[in-house]
Order: sequence, then structure tokens, then C-alpha cells
Amino acid sequence: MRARVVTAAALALATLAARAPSARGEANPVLRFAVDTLVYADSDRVLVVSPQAAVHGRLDRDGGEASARVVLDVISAASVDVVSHATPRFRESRTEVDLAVSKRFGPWLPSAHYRNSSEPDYASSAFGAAIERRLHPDATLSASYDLSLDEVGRSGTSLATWSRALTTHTAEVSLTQVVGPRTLLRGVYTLTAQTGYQEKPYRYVPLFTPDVMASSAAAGVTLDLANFDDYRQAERPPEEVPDLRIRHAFGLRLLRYLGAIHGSLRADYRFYVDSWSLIANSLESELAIPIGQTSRLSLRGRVHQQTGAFFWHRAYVTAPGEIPRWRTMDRDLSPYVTLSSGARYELGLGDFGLYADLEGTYTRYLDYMFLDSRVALIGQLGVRYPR
Amino acid sequence: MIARARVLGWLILGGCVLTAGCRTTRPWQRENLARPVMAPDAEPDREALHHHYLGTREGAAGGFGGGGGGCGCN
Repeated sequence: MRARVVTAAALALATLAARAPSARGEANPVLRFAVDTLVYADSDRVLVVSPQAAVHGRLDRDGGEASARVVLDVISAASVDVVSHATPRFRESRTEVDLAVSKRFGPWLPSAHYRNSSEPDYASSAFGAAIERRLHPDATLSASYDLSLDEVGRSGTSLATWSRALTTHTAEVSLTQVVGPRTLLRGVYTLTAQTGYQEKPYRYVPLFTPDVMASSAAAGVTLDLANFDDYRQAERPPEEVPDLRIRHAFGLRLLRYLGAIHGSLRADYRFYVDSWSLIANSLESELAIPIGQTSRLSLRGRVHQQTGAFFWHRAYVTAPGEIPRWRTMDRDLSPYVTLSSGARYELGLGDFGLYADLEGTYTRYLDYMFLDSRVALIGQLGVRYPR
Repeated sequence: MIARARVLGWLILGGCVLTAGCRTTRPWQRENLARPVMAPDAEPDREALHHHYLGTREGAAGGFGGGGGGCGCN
């Protein structure tokens, strides 16, 4: 399946390249190529390298285009998720292919896309459509819908032998409004409904009896990755979370031109809440500073804070033989705060555009047994032709 | 909390509908808005890769535009 999809994407890329005139020397080039690579490394011993290639073929002069994108994730991990189950470091790769097309019809810009993603224990296909409508020169309204059909498996076991389904519906509406000669404002609402298997099949949840918790607390012992195996009950059931998750996200983007530096300031705020009672606030800001005619420096900062899901517990305390209905060790369902800071430098060299981006993040887990904090570095490089 | 989120959603939607009728600039006032630094959407391929990383490492998703659907991974 993966080979077929990658082959289809390669054919799409080749077809676009063969049918369109050369980009070189045209004021409005028909084809645009992009190559990017992201490298993620963190203190939890996770390394991800994600190279990506894309081609965009212009269909009209006002937003219409056909595009194909292929991204490969190569993952190597010995994180606490892995170590806490006494399993060794794993390595795997994942391939994702995106195909998209859009075409302008007067004030309307409809688009459609397809995405296929596969890795040894997970397969996903997604279809989506969007429509954008220019209300007048100062306002653009857009709406989109995506359907993702996922099949979750276990590594080393064929999907025919064991698999679970996860269906994700995503609907989004956004309005971009000019609110002055120097200011843009955008509001976004995203509604996501997920039904099906949302656990990880490799994750098992340690349980503790009240007596053990009391005695360990009395002895001044804090349960962590090094000692939890000494205190837990023998039974360690698999993770179990509700099959339905309804997610709401409200985003606001403010973009302001700064005449003094001929640059701009962008501020994003997102409020998120879902039916698992997870609430999150994300604030991001970026200052873009042009340097000369062909380069630009961007500096940004980000804060993300979230509460835990209603069934999240640092340690699940039950009487022997009792298993809580909902249980998880997914740290993304726990309360935590992440601070990020990064910089990007973009440079134009003839017909080529290049950029380098470096970001550092610090995450403080407020109620997670296996990890207190994580530091990550994310580097991203890219080339565009023509720029 | 979900009820409050619905109220917030209706307020944002109502605000959007009200402001969507506002024309605030004239063509000769749009010079700064047309500059590359004022593009409301960042470079799509670069952002796709960045959001792919964010989507796998945060409990929240959506709200920043550009569609959704997650990364299709675990």
C-alpha cells in the first residue's frame, strides 16, 4: 500500500514537472519546488529526522494550484514511554503523501486534498475539501472539512490479525479581516470529533494499592521511573480511554505592520477545550525583521499550558483486583507547561530561497510519574526554487 | 466547560459576522498590507512540517487555520 501511494505521489510530481513550462526566467513561474528537513532531538532520548519534498504547479494567478508533498519520518526512541515497559530502543519510519488541488472561480477558491500516511503499526487516509470566499478586499471567509480514517495496529503483528479503527472528523471556519492600513485580524474555530481506538496498544498502566501508597509516602519515597516497579501491583492493565473525544479550538491571529523596521509583529492566541476536560491555552508571537532586500530574520516565542484530562492520575490507586474504568499514562493528557523560543533566517540567492530555523523548548510536567521535564531542540532547513 | 466553550464559539462567530461587513481600507492604503511580512499565512510547506511536529507533542489541536485532521501517526 505504501509503495503504491509513494509511486502515485512520484507520478504526480513527475506529471506536474513534465506538463508545466520551466520556472526559470518567468515573472510568474508555473512550478515551484520545496525541499525541507526537520530534525527533532530531546532529553527524553527521542530523535526524529523528517525530510520533505514538495512541488506546486500554478493553475491560475490567484491562488489556484496543484501540489504534491512527500514527507518521511525516521524515528529513534528510548523515551520513558519505552523504558517504563522494559523494552529496548526502537527505530521505525513513516511515510506521508499529500496531494492537493485548488482553482479560483471569481471570488471563490475551492480546494480538495488527500493524505495517506503509513508506518509499521499505523495506517491513515484522509480526505478533505475547503472553500474560500473573498467577501471584499478586506475580508476573506473560509471553511473546511476533513475526514481521517485510521487503522491502529501493533508492530510485528499484521493489521489483518489485530487492528482497531479511529475516525476523525474536523470542521473549521475562519475569517481574515483587515482592520486598518497596518493591521490584520483572523479568527478561527476548529471542531474535531474522534471516535474509536485512541489508546496506544503498547502502553500499560501501573496500579498501586492504598496501603503501598501510604507506606511509601510515610517513608518519604516519591514514585518515579526508577522505583515504581517495586511498588506497583502485579497486574498492569492496558491503557483505556473513552472512545469519543470532541475537541474545540478557538484561535485569534493579529498581524501588525511595524513601519519603523519595515517588519511585522504576529500574535496568536488559542483556547482549547475538549470532552475529556482537557483545557489548554497557547500564546505565540513572532517578530519579522527584513534585512536588506533579500533576507529576513524572525524571532518568536511560544507558551503552551494545559490541564490534565478528567481521568488523568499521576498514580492510579485501587484495591487489589480492581481496575479503574479509564486509565492512561499518556503524558499529553497530563498537566504541563511548555516554553519555546526560536529564530529563523531567510535568504534569497538568485532564484533560490533558503531558510534555517532553530527552536528550543522546555516542558515542565506537573503531575507525571516518569518525567519531570524535557528539553528539546528542533532544527529546520529548507530550499525553495524559485523563491 | 463545554457549554462555556459553545458560548465563546457563538461570540467569536457573531463577532466575525459583524466585522465581515467592515471595509476599512482604500486601495491606496494597502501598500503595507501587500508586503511579504504581512502575509496572513506563513509559507505552507514549512508550516506543514512545523505543525506536524507540534501536533504529535501537544494535547491540544486546531485553532490556527489551514485545515486539520492531524498527522495520521502514533
